[in-house]
Parts: sequence; structure tokens; C-alpha cells
Amino acid sequence: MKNFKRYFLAISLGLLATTAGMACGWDGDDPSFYDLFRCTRPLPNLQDQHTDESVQFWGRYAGLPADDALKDAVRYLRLQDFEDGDDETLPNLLVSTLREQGKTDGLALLQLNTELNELVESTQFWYYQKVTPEQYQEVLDKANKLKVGKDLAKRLTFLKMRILSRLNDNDAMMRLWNNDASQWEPSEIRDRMEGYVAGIYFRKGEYDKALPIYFRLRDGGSISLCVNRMLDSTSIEEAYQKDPNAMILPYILEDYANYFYHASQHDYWEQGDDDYKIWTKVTREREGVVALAEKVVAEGKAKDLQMWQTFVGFMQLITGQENLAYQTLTKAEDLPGSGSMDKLIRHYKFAASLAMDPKPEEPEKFEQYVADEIKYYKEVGHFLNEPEHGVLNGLYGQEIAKRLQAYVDQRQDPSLSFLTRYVLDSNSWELDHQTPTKQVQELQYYVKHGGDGPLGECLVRYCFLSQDFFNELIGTKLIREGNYEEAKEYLEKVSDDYLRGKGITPYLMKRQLPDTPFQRKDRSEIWDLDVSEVDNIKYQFCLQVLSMKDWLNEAKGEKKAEVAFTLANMLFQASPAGDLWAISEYSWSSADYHYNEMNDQADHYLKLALDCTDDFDMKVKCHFGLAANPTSKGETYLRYDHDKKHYYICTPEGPQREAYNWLHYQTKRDSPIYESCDWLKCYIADNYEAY
Amino acid sequence: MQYRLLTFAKNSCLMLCWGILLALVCACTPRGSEVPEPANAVYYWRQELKLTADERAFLERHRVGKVYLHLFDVVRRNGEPSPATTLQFVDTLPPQTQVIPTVFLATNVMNDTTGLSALPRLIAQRVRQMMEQNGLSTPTELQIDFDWTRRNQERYFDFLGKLRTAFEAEGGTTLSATIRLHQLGMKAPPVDYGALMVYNVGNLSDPDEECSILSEKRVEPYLRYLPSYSLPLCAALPVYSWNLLFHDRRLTCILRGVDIGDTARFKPIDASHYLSVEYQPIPPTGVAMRGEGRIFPGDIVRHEFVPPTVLQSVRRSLEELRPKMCSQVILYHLDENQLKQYSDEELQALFSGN
Repeated sequence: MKNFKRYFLAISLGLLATTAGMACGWDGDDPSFYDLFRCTRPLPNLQDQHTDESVQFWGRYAGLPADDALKDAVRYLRLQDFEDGDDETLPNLLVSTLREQGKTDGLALLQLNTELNELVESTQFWYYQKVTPEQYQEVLDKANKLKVGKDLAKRLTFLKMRILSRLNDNDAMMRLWNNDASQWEPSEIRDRMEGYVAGIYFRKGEYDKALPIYFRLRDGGSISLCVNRMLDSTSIEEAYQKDPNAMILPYILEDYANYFYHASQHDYWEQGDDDYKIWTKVTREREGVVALAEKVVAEGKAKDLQMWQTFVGFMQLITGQENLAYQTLTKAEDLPGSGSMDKLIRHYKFAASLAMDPKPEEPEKFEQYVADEIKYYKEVGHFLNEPEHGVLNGLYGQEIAKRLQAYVDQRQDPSLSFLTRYVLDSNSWELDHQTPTKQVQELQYYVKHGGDGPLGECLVRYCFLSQDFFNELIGTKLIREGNYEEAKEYLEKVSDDYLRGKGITPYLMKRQLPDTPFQRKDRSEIWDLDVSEVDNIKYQFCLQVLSMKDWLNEAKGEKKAEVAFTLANMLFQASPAGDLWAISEYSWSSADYHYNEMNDQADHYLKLALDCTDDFDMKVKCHFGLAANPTSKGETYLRYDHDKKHYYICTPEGPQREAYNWLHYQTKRDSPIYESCDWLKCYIADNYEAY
Repeated sequence: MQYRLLTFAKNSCLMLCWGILLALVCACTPRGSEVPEPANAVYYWRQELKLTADERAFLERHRVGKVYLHLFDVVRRNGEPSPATTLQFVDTLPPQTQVIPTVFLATNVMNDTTGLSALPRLIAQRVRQMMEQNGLSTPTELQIDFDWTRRNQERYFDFLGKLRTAFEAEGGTTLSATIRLHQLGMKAPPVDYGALMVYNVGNLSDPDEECSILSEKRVEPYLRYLPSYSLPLCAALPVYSWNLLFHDRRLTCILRGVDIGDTARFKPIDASHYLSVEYQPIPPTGVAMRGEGRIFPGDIVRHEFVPPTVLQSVRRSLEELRPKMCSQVILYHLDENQLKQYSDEELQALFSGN
């Protein structure tokens, strides 16, 4: 049964789609969502609603609750369910209920419906069944002969509509609509019938007839497809002249806004003369549409004058006429409209005012205004289900962001500038990678004290950078720089909760130094390890390094060499090449990978050990460490090729190369160190000719 | 002397026997061929089997003896291998052509083992059902198209082994597979022969690529593997072109149904690049959506087309390195709009080499 269910799972999705019975075949998210200019509202996809409609109908008919059990019963319905026999599988809930109730006409209709669904979906089965028009005709004949009660009559008509649709019999479908369903009371089943009618118009290319139906049915996907086709063939001027309130007009306007915005972003000077010609053409087109929009506003025939005026303002905004845009948009606020432009006007005015000089308000007031707008953006823009989400993110990601940044940058306050960037795109790359430790410390201070003025306070509030974050980041940066004393102070303050929530817990877990110095485990092993304990490993590492350093200061001669070697190995293992923390593993783009100075620190102590020792074995160990320690970063790391199941290493440079050469000349090829070290064997194999 | 004569007679007899045997073997296996019963061949890779009059005439004129008919894809749906894009039979193929069912496996099919053990049987059964229910004879050959890598090679080869058994149970005898150029350097799959796909060699999305369909310089590095490749091969050559749309050097889509010769909309930059001078719709292909479904002024269209001289030159290179592999050439694919870009002589030359 389990397998059987799984087998039918694939079918079920398609089956539901067929019961939905929509017209255009659209499948996807609401596509009429432009980044920056939108005068239409997103509309729902009706598929789910139609599924619910079917389930609810059969629930009402059979007196069953429209719950998941019934949904499954409808979803997994198959012709076998209607057969008598000692099938081991559980009977279908809907079929068995109808049987018990003796509703034979309902059962017969349901069976025909299932027969149709199986025909429609037959090509998705592993068991192939060729479907011919004759088979659809057979189902239609059965449906025509079927006698049902009044309560099922509409359902039967709907089934016929579906079959006729498969037979591409547009005339019969129209007859069914005109003579029957069009006279029904408004209901979901009537809407679904009308959806088929719209589909006929759509396929015939009569989009202007299909579109009002889709609007009425609130079928976002089909509207979108319809509009898309109409945009290709409808001139905005003609559409306006024909009907100043034509449904297609907001969509055409959105499309133009999209076009002109993208054109304004394009560098038209690469192709020389050709590009110049394109640029002048685009400019001419834009001016033409703007002139029409101004005419529409002046004539006052359209209901939504605000929409046309906002379009003009937006065009002015993207062509660098901020002062004019501000005035145009202010006028738009007082024009009649549907209200759909209110929020856009607000954002465009904000974008315009940021670049205006002088600002439309007093400096202090203006700063408060900027802070309020950011607050609005942070609180509304991040809600994905909020219709404004896309527009806001588009605006803040592009137009407003660059204007806001320019406005803040002129204040010449690095913390404020940084926080603006951070609040706008929440990207910590810059902090991790580029910002010097001192500046991060200043930023921490700034954030800790809640910012300065309304804008600073707002940015601090919405940057969501905690003191734990700063302490961990600064501590890590200081470790990278080798400043363990100061790093310890910062890392000590990092809370366990923060470490747990950081999402890189597996890499911060407590781990032992590998048994063999300057070697690491196969990286794939690291991924498989369980995390049993979260610890402030960086802080403890600082303590260990500091205590080793104390020990080193006290030690002399061979002992000093030994301590230096051990310390070097510790530092190496904490580097991207080692696996003490494996922090370098959490991403190739991690700052720890690119800006980690641990290898240099390890190099320093290996050389110190060499200076302190006369012991040949210790010299071999130190040279081996130097050979394994990639001080030039990145390119000389050992890599593992999963396809070839083979370690490889690029030809090392500098001290690493010298160390390899030393080992090659001073030790024998059959020395145990060669046997124990994949790196070295691999280096010899790959770079033998380099000797 | 008598002994010598006897020995001579004995040897002559033996040689005669060998000669007859050799002649018989030669008669059974067509001379100079790597694949069984070589013939002029094409792939049919559309969702509906419906031939135009020109396509039908092409098959007849060029005596196309084999059509590799793409029946369906296998994809993972809800984690289970499932058939998709099943061919709809609206029309029939000329009766004299041998139809070789071809099944494409999506990359993710071999990503895990769920449902994989039953897959060979399901494919073999479905292929037979599709052929028989649509008036075609029970297939004796099946071709699998899958882009395997070292990572899933073992799983794929194991699958092929089981598929052979399942296909034999359905009455099949021959199993073939497509081989991509990069796979020439890898172990050969356990099939009877391979169709070497000498196309899709470049990087489609690279705005600086000249022709991603086929170029001699892209093919050349792989040719060294050809002479020693252990599997019998035939050659599959491209006879298609396409237009690739780039917006700010980023590949937006493969344009279909756009006339790049329309000078009011496109300005030629060089032999293969066109500059869009209009804001225009991308004709609906089922994926273009509003906001994305537009060609912007300044966008570049790269028209990729493999000139017959390049096709011939590549064919010659293949033949020089592996003389028998071009005894069967499969053209990808049967489409009158694509085929009409080549003359009859050029197409004939691809099949026959002269």
C-alpha cells in the first residue's frame, strides 16, 4: 500500500491540476511584479482554490468534513476504487461513503470524473496507455447518457466542459456555456466554467475578451499571460483613445516603466554610433510616453490620474530630474486615483529628496524623515507576503540605496556610512573581510552607545549587530593578527547562546590536535563528526597559545625547539590548512580562509625551533612543517580531488618550496616521513620533475 | 613429393575453408562498420511526432534508414524516477525506417538510489508499450541518453547492465548509449555501441564563445582518445542553429521564433552577432514571463550555426582517426526549419562523406 501510494503521489499533483481546469496553462509565481514601478496588484493563482472547491463540493455531497482525509480521498482516487473485490488496500473514503449512502448517480459521476483524470494523466504513468480522442469521446458519451439529480447537474456539465476541452471542441464548449452555465447563479463552479470560455478566447487571440473574465475570476496567472500577449500588440495611445480606463493600460504603463528604467541603467556607449542611435531612440520613446501621460492627466478622462502622474514622476526620477520629480509627485498626491500609487509616491519622493539640494525640509527634520523612511522600509519591506515587498526591495536595493548612501557619506562619519550599507543589504562580508580591527572597534562603541542623532539611532536599531557579534568578530580578527592578549579579552565576553546560534557550531567544536603534526584529516571526515559540545574554543585557544608562549620564554635549547614546534603545529592546525577548528571549512569565501595569518605565525615558530635545535629528527620535523605550511595562502593548499580520489598540491613557492627541497635532499625517499604523509608523497609524485 | 602435394592440397583446403568462413563473416557484418546495420540516421527530438511534407521528403531522398525517436525523459519527481515529456504520436514514420526508441535520463536520476532498482524494468516495459501501442514493431534496440560523470559512472553502468537484462526480457537485443566528447577519456559504458555526440561542445552562456554547438578547436582536444576508445561508435552531428540572447553579457534565453534578419529590430554587428535596437517581446516559449520576457535595446543576439565546411571537416577528422565510425552518421535533429539551412548535397555529404 505504501509503495502504491507513493506511485500515485506523482499522479496526484497533475490530477489536481486537471480538476482545476484552467485556461492558459500558466504555471508559476505572480509574474506581473516589476521591481520598481507597479500600479497593478498581485493576483492569486487559482489552482489551490479549485482543488478546495472540488473537495468541498464532494464533502458537502457526501456529508463528510472537507479535511485532509477527504482531500486524500479525492487526490488518490482511481478507477480501481470503484471495482468490487477483495482488494487488500483500504477502500477510498469518498467512494465507500457514497456506496453506503446508496448515492449511485454520485458514484457514477465520480467514476467518470476519475476516468477522465486517468486519461489526462496517462502519459505520466510508468504504465503507458495511449490516449486517443475516441477515448475522450467515449467518456463524453457516457456523460451524456448519465442521469443525475439536480444537486449533481452542474457538476456533470462541468465534467462535459472538461472533456470537450480535451477534444478541442470550442463550439460545443461555447454552446454549453451559453445555453446552460451562463445562466447559473454566481458560484465557484460557474467561475470555473467561465474560465474555459476565457481559455477559448485566449487561444483564438481574442485577449480583450479573455482579460475581463480573468480579472473577474482574479486569475493572476492567466491575466499575466493575456496581458503579455496584449502588450506585444497593443499601442498605449490606441488603447487609451479606445478606452481611457482600459484594463490593459496599467500593465502597459508598468511595462514601459520597466523598459525605461532598464534602459536608464544600460551603458549605451560601448557600441559607439549604434548605441547612440539606440539611446536617442529610447529617449524619444520615453518622451513620447511621458507626453501621453501628461496629456492624460490634463484631459482628466481617466479615473486613475494619480497613476499617470506617478509614471511621469518616476521617469523624471530615473533621468536625474529630482527636483522636478519631487514636484510632480507632490501634485500626484492630490490627484484622483485608486490609492494603489500612494506608497510608491511616498518612496519616489523620498528617493528624489535624498538627491535634492537644498532639501525640501530643515536639516534636522530631514534627518528624522530619513530615519522614519528607513524604519518603514525595515518594518514593511522584509515581509515577503506584503505586496510592497518587491517594490521596496527594488527601490532600496537600487535607486534609494545609492541616493541614501551618497547622502550619508557626505556626513563623513565612517560608522554611519558603514551602518547604512549594512542596514540596506545586511551583508557582513565587508565587516569580516575588509574593515580593519580598529574601525570595527569604533563601530562596536558606536553601536553600544545607541548611535548619534535620529539617523544614527535608527541605523543602530535596524543593524541588529549585537555586542556578542562584535566581541567574536574583533576577537577573531585579533587572533588572525596574532594579538592573543587582546583577543582573549573580547572572546571571553562572547556568550554560549551566541555561539550556538551562529550556525557554524560544528566548526567551533572542541577538537583534539591530530596525532601527526602538520597533517590533517580527510576533510570529508570533518563533515560527518557529531557535535557533542559547544565551547568558546577561540577563547580557550587564546589561553593555550598564551600559556605556550610563557612556556616558550622559559624553555631553553632542545626543549625550546620542542615547545616552538608544538606551538607552530597548534597555529598551523588553527589555520585554513589545518583542522583544529576547521573554521576555514565553513565557506571558501570565509574571511578566515583569506585573511588568516596563522600560517605566518606557525612559520615564525618553526624557524625559531630550527634555530634552537641541533637534532636532525627535529630538523626534519620542522622542515616538514614548513613544507606543509602554505604561507602564501590559497593556491598552495592541499586539495582533494573527489573525482580522482587523489590529493594534489600546486607547486609551492618560497619557504614551502625550500623546505620540500631540503627534505628531498637531506632525507631518503623511503624515510618513514614519506610513508606517513600523503602530502609529501603527493608532492613528490606531482612535482618530481620540479626538482 | 607426394607428401608435399598432399600437404599442399590439405593446406589449400584449409585455406579455402578459412576463406569461406571469412566471406561468411564479412557477409554477416557489413563491411567497414562499427554499428549493426549502419544506415543514414536522424534523431527525432520533438514532443509531438508529426512530420511535415518536407521532412518526409528528406527521409525519403536521403534514404534515412533509422530514426532515433525520443520517447520520453526520466526525471525525479517527488524523489522517484518518473517519465516526463512523453512523445505524442500524431503521425507515423515512413514504414521502411527502423525506429530506435531513445530515452533521456535527467542528471538527477542517478543522484540517489531511490527507485533505481526498478527503473530498468519500468523503462524497458514502457518503451515496448509505447512502440506497440502506436503501431511500431517491438523494439530490438534501445538508446539511452545520459550525461554521466565519474561520480555517478558506477551507478549508471550498473543501471545499464540491468537495463540490458530487462530489455532482453521485453524482446530487445541491442543497447546503445550516447557518448559525449568529454566521456571519451573515461571508461566506456557496458552497451553494444555508442553514438558520439559531436555537438554542444562549448559554453553556451559565455558571451565570448564563438559557437557553442560545434567548433573544431573545441573538438580537437578530445580526438586523441578516439582511436583507442573501446566501444564501437557512430557519429552524431548537429544540423541545428539557435539564437542566444545576452543582456549585459549575461545569457537571458535561447530565442525562438525571432527573425534576427528583421533590420528594424536587429542590426548585424558581425557574421554571428546582432544588436537589438528595439524593446520587443520574447515570443512565448512557456517560460518567458513579464518583466523578464523582453528584449531590450542594446541586447546582443548570438546566432550559432555550424557551417557545412566545419561539419565536413570534423567528420573527416573523425573518419581519419577512426575510419569505420562514420559508416553511420546520425543527424541531430529532424526539423525542416533547421535542415533547410543546408543544401541536399551538403546533407548527403554528411551521411556519406562525399
